[in-house]
Amino acid sequence: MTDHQLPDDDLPCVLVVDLITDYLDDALSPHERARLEEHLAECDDCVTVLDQFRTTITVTGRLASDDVDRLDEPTRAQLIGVFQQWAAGRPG
Amino acid sequence: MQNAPVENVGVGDASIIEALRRGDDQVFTEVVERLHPTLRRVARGYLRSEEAIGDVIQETWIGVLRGIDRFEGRSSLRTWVVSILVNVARSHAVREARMVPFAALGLPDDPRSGFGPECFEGPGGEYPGHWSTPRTPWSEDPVAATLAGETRELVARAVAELPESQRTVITLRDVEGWTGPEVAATLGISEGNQRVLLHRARARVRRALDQHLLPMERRAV
Ligand SMILES: [Zn+2]
Repeated sequence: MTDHQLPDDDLPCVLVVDLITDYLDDALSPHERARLEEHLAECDDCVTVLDQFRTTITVTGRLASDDVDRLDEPTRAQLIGVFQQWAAGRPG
Repeated sequence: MQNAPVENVGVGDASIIEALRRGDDQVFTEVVERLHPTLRRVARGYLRSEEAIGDVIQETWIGVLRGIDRFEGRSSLRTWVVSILVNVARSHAVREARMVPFAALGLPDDPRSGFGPECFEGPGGEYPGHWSTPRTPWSEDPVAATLAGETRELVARAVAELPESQRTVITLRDVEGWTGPEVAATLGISEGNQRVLLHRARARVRRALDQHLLPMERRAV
């Protein structure tokens, strides 16, 4: 866990945005988390930005369904060839 | 999925490793099939040409087979395979002389979260460090819009243009859904560094979406 040396008074938005990924990863100390949530309860703009980060993560996740990265037949055959050659050369 | 404890990820790996050591090509094919999209996406962060990506993937599997008797299963199988891929891809990229040091966390003038100093009130303002202008929520739902293609293209391009280290981290975390500890172990970096890279990467993609989705007249600088 990282100690962020947060200021004693109200957390400024400029610090809040830097903590978003730590917050979503649950990597803040309980104290830091409480401070951040206090700020979010009062600041609609930071909530907007937090929502945008969450949406960004979801949208990025959609890139996983890309067919161009599936294993194609020639590559499959080639890699099985590599495996069989390796297996045949093993002792025992 | 996103927060699965890292020790659960490798469940079943031991029997897979055993089968590979025995020369079971059925199991090998299944593993190759499962990991292939991940390997391609990560390799593309280092190399552009299809030929080079194919070479790197083949060399990775050769490395995996050569090392399989020594693999102790302290990390999950996919963590180990991808860490080999990253090493192979980086040495290919060095040969292609388009290498960026992995530790580079981004340009010094690149704001960590994607918001320049003009977005916040200065020290003389009424609320220093708070937003100088209100944030505008996205009017269009980009999750729905990704299905339409244009938004998806935009996000794919934003990810492709990231520095290599950021691109690798966001690909494994947000595209592949790996955990932070797994990604840190794969890349040999601390979990904290992994999060810094991830945050910068997300910030760039968020910014690209913001510029795309906000109505022209309300667009931030
Ligand atoms: Zn705020």
